[in-house]
Amino acid sequence: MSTRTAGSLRTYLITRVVLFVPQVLVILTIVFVLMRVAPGDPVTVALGGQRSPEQLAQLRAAAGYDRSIFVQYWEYISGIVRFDLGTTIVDSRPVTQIFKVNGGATLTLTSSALVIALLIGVPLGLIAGRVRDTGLDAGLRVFGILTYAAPVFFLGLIFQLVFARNLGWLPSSSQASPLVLARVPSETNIFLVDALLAGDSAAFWNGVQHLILPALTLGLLLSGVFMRIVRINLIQTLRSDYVEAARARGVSEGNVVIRHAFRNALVPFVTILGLQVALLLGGAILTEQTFNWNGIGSQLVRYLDSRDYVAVQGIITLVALAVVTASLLIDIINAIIDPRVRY
Amino acid sequence: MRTRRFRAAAALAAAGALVLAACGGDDEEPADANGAANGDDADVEEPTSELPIVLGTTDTVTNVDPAGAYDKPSWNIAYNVYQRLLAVPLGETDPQPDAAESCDWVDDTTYSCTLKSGLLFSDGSELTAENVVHSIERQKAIEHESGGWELLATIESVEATDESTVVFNLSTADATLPYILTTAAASIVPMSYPADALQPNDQAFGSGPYTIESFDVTQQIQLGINANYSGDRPLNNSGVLLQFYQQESALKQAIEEGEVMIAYRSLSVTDIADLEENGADRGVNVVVGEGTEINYMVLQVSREPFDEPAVRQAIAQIIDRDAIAESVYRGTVTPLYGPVPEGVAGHVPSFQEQYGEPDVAAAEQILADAGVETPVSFDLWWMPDRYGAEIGDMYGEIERQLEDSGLFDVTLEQLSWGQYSTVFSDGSMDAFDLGWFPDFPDASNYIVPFFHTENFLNYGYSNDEMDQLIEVIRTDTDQDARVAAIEDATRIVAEEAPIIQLWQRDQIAAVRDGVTGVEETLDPSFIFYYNMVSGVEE
Repeated sequence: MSTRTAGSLRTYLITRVVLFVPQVLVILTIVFVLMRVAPGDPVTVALGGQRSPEQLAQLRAAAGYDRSIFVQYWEYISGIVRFDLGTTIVDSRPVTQIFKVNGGATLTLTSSALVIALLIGVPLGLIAGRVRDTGLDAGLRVFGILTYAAPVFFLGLIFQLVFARNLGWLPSSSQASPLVLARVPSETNIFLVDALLAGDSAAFWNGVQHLILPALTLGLLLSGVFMRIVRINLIQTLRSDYVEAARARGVSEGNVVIRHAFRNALVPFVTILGLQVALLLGGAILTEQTFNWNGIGSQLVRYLDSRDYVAVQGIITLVALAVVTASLLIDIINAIIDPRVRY
Repeated sequence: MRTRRFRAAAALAAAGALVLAACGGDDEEPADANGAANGDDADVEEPTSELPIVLGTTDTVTNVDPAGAYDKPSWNIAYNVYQRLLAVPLGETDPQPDAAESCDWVDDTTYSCTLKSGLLFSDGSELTAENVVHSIERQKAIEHESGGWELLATIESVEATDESTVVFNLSTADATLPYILTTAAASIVPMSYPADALQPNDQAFGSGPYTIESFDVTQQIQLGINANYSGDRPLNNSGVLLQFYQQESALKQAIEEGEVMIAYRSLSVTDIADLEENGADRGVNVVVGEGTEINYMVLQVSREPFDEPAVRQAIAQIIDRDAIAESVYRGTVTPLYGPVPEGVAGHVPSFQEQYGEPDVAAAEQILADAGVETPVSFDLWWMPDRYGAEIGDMYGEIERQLEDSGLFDVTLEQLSWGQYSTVFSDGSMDAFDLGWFPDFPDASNYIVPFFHTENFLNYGYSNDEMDQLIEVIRTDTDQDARVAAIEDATRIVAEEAPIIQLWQRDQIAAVRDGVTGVEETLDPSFIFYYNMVSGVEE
């Protein structure tokens, strides 16, 4: 790596990291404002009718809702800096504990779904790009559109009906059977890891069985996106001069596609991959709800049902931070593997 | 080179996955380490089933420290973890000794209980009269916002006169005290519980048949057997797993797939109907017990049009509760014709006595006799997110019944519970729906809060005769006199119709083949005694 190249990469990384701060601040401000434009204060909405006016006033004061909006904003931002997102109204749980206890389930689901999406989407995109404008290409494009357009909960319900209800092959909900969940000590809050740590292969297998349908549901959603992106990029790179040059040199078509076109087609794919984190987390909320998956998404819905705005605000804040951070990491990776980005 | 490394890593990962998969199997072994003590103690009966009972529910548990909860799901765990001085035995309606040997009135405002000897908490500490004092005093000191402590409001002081005797001094005569002492609010807790703060949920323990082994309200609560329990309740299982589901549909799938042995609170009406029809093919049976949850329509008697008794009576004359129970609830509720539900002492079908069968002509006559112009217009409010998805259909049916009579013009309005709960008592609604779960199976629960001049609905109802009857219901320790007063009050309610009761919901559970004991615990006390249930491995 030349000095000039190293210098430009460093400058890019510093610029990108510095820009991260205002980006986060804007997002946090939007979250804060959105939570405040809803009518009524969160305490009254969550507990109105169940507490006396005096108790509601005390809870409002304890939660800081009797202070000016600017003071509340400052406390919100400074709380995030201290990693203090408040305590839920309905069950007095620190919001950070929700992530600690339920984050593992969401991580398991989303990472499995991502793997499935890559395993399905990338090869299908490669095939579709390679056989462009054929019947197979058309079929794969329809598959991509359908998997992307089909609502996650609908796909999940179909899978439950077919594979759980009718065929009885797989369980339809939860991370594991209740008895299995009970016997595996929770060390990491990631069930499959806990089962391995406990040396309980039957529990691990039970967890895998429970994971298949939700991961497949969410994975298929993303696979359609991946397939279309890989296909388009592959078609573009197959038209490139260097591909033509490779063909002219007598390189076999298989090598041309895989070693020259496909690898270069994956560079923009990495950028898109970062953007899919938000789609993945959004889809995870619906998937968790459909499959009674005890992750952050199902907790978000639970607290929304209870109108616990402190919990909802905290969860949305951390999810937003996760998306922005993932975006930063993808940009950095992209800058490292693709020199054009940093110039 | 990199390609080869990648291939080698991929092969290793695949091989690892196969090995792990091969190590597993389709058969799930039942949990063998539930932590339950199985009869080491001579006082504990040998459980009749080695399996922990797996109970699925959509309920939300908030707190199992009795000083921190006032909701049915949390109380239900308290009923299985703690003892109270008194309890209402299954199938009965009167309080009987639990941790107490005996209890009796000393005078109108003094109540004394003698504890059984040899009672132990699960940590081995002794249960004495001091524990009762500590339990009541910390309830009143903490004053948790859930409000359960308010049930103990008439207890001015409580003292332990010796190790086994506790005396309650009341600020005013309160005939319901024995019932109040059966509630989870009066659960007896260990001295190690903080006097002014809540015990953490995962560290809660008592002297009841179960002890908490793990606590995660988002997923699962695990209860094991309390080896020190020496009460009268039989123990038919080796522990309980409460598995939480967010959706009724997921709970139904879980019982069908055998993931849970019991599905209790709540299955949707359509799911219940499906399980009743087809459940046997899937190894699932539906069990029904008498319930004491009621639903009712409040009429704003403080202003037009319901300040005119004839308008209220005409509505009572038209509403067809049978049609609601069958067409909307598919028989999962029982028509309720009075303020006190069936199964509770003092129940009288007073509306049926007063109005007979639904009769539009009779309603027309009532309105004509009072000179009321028809159709009478009013707004009728309900909320979609509190008492089940069928409430909307029910009010659609009520609107149809009233408008088909040609005597009423009903405008249905709905509001989410968050807003509804803040406005139902401000007089802004002409008529509105509410539901009620009793704290204990005594008729006073269904009369006093609703029909005293100072009622929580603030709907303008006031009747001197009713207030006098309520005074008897509240304070007379002669049960016969109380029941007579309750029956009189019930008839006044039917005559004046300020509130029209619609149904009482049956308690319904779905159980897997081989699970026994559920039917016995679904009684009007509304307490699910886990110890009654036994399961067999399928």
